[in-house]
Amino acid sequence: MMNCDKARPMLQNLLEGLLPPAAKASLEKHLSACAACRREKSLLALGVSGVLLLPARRPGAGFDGRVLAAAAAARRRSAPSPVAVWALNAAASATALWMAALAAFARPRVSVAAVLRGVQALRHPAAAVAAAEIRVARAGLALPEALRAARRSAAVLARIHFAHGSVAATLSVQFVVAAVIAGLAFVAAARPQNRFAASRRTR
Amino acid sequence: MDIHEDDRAAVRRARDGDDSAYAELLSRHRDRVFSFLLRFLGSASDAEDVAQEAFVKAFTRLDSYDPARPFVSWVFGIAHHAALDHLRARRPAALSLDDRDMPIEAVDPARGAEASAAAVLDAELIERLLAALPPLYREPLLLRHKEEMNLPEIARVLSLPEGTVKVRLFRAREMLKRKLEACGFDGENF
Repeated sequence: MMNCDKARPMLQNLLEGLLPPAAKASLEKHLSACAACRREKSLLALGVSGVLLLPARRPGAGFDGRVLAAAAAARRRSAPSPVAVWALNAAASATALWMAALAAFARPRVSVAAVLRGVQALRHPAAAVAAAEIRVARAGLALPEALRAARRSAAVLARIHFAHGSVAATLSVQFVVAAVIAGLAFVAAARPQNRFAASRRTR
Repeated sequence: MDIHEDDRAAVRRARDGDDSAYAELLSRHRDRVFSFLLRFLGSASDAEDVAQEAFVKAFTRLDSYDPARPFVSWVFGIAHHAALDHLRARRPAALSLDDRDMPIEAVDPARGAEASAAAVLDAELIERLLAALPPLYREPLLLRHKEEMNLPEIARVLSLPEGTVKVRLFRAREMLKRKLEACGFDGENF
């Protein structure tokens, strides 16, 4: 038989519908016989239903206008200048070209991983994306894969810069870079000298 | 289309630069977020400032919104953190978890004998009872019983483990019950 000490901590779970059927039946049996626990349950239920019945409140007039104006101002503040966006794109593109050249013509002692870390240290998403493209190009050295990587890169960059009105600029720069990367990767794949160097490294 | 799907569609349009989509999200959820902040902070002007800050932050972070989650819960999370920062800066004592037995005006004893919760607990009284709870206990109570969020969602909004939320909810309901008793409600008639 359940007593009050055991019943009281279960009352909230009963109100929340969290008790297993056996525990619920046992507690309800106790409640039917115990006025003090029934009173506790009623007060808990009264508080909960009181919160539920609270009406919605409205902010003062003009709230929406103030929020939207502040949001627009915040977006203007956070947007880099078009010059900065072009400079970043140019830096990322130059890095991508440099990496493509390394990927295609580097001698075995050059550490591509070290150069990739340097690229990521630029802390610009475009540079990281370009570095990822090079990895794909180096791994597969196949034109369709390089082009797919380039398309992904363009999509990522478009999303990064869509708010700054430079989508066309970003896409056009990246398209040129991607085409160059793909071309270099294709040339590198076709170079018997590189294949020979690669097979020498694995020995 | 349900409200979450409407929200997700509006977020997609807002991300694509359609400002009217964010105005739509704002008008749909503004009152809920403001009401929550008003009851959490206890001041209409503070609640309005923090609500504005929360909606502006949400707007600038739309790219980080996870569509798997209800938009309004995400905004509640931002509002909660903005409100905590506000309290830390202006009223750090309000962040205590102690129930300080804040005074509640006496209630006409005859009201306690009425039959239904709606008749007995008018909005003004329940607002006063809630205001007498420490803000950190008010929050889970409002999110659970006013906003009708489940435990995992509340834990996410408050950035707390579910166990902590459960304990705070339990204590908050107990405190509210004690305050009802202190106001002369005896629970016999409900």
